Amino acid sequence: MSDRPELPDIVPILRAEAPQVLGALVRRYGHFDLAEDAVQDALLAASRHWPESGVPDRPRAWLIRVGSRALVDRLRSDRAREGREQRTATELPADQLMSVPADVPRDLDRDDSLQVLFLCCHPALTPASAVALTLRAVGGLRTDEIARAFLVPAKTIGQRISRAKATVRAEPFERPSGEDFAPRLAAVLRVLYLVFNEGYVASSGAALVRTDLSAEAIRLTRMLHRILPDDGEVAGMLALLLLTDARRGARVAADGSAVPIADQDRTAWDAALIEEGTALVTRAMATAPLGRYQIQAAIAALHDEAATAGDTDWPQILGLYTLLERFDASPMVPLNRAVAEAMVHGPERGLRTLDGLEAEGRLAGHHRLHAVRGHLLDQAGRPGEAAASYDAAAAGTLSTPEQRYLRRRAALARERSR
Amino acid sequence: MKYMLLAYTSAASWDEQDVSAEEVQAICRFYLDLERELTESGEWVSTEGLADPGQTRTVRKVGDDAVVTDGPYVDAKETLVSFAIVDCDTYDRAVEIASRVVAFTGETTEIRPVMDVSLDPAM
Repeated sequence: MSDRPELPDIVPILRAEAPQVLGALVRRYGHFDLAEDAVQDALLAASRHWPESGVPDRPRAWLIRVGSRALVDRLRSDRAREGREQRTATELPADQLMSVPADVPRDLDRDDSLQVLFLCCHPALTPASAVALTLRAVGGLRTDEIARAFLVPAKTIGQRISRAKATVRAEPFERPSGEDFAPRLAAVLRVLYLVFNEGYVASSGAALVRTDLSAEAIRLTRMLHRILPDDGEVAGMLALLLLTDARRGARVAADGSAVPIADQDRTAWDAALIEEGTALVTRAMATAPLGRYQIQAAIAALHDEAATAGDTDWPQILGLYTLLERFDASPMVPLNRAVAEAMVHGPERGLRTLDGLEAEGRLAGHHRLHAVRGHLLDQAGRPGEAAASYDAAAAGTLSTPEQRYLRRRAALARERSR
Repeated sequence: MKYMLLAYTSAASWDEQDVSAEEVQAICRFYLDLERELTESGEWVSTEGLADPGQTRTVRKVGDDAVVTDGPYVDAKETLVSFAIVDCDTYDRAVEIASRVVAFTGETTEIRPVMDVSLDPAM
């Protein structure tokens, strides 16, 4: 942020306007890839000028005007390189070759953010490319900010973005319709969840250095929910992110190890986020067709609403995991169901489910399977075997805080087994 | 996911190496090309080649102090010659990249997944 002299309130304005400005430019000129660069130019120009001149009365009109000019410049040099300047001149509206009108009212009322989001999360993109492109084109983040979040060089992220743009360049800029809509929206939600996931960092130190991707995922999901307020899965996703983020302050101990929900200090949870998330998922489940994110959010809400770990409504959580399996084929769902089974029917029942999962082979050797087995063996009063499972899980995880937690559980279990 | 690739070469071949040899030049070009290719694919994080193992120094804790010694000049059969960090979608892709290094250079390459500070929100 240091190279952008800025008033404290400029950045949120710019980031909120970014997808709207991009949508307006693409609607008018096409050329999604060049328009995206032009928006970055406009954001940069604003962050240079606004601290001195003040934020214009109509920031979007200002950004569209400057972005249009930048895009026309880019189109011209692009065409010049290809030796086809003549054709460009006839393609572009005549007024664009002169000066751009002072205000651009036609584009202001339209909200094309959704189309931008659909394009950035296009199923043809790899997850890493879709995430990078979404953060820049919809989130308004600069390449170096994204690079910092992922701890990779800026040129690597720049490359991911330009490859992604090349992939979707020929795709139509429109809202998918009919049968296409649901799967395309699901792809968008997956990307937003990935962004949240990536930002769910353990230590505040790391969060300070890295761009706060969890907050960014929530902001973008809020935007999507504003555009599609009646979509149950969008509301479900927003609720899930809020209900998960509510526990952020309590999830890591002073020694840097992860703290499982049961052991977290519930007074450190964010009551306002829990209230908002719970209201969202309650309304969605009452009014919209059911889906996986609503169910996951409902499970998160049941955890968050319990005054103590002992008050958790495990029978209802078990029912929700059983329901979730109809919407989500991931083997993580039965794995989580095993935990709920153990709480409701005793650890032996949960262990039987784990044996079944292991026999299926889909989760063989996965560290989460070992971790859950460790917990259930602990619960069943078999600390020696529990320690071995925790050790296996600790060796398999790539998350430092989770590894610390698992090693400590293993040591405690070993002590008990003596 | 980030992976570290550690390439090893035999200490003997290091000593005998003639940097002007076409073979060595070809390996340098291979690494430059690979770096360019991985940058273009959006997977490159970092790569470095290491200096002669004769320049190694080791810092060890002795009592409360950190003590520096030259070496070790062990007659290890294989010694670390270069490392790379790549950020790719799958472990299989990291193996694919390493396999190309091995096929071209003959250097044995070890792959180590890199730990992360992030937490699975579902945990």
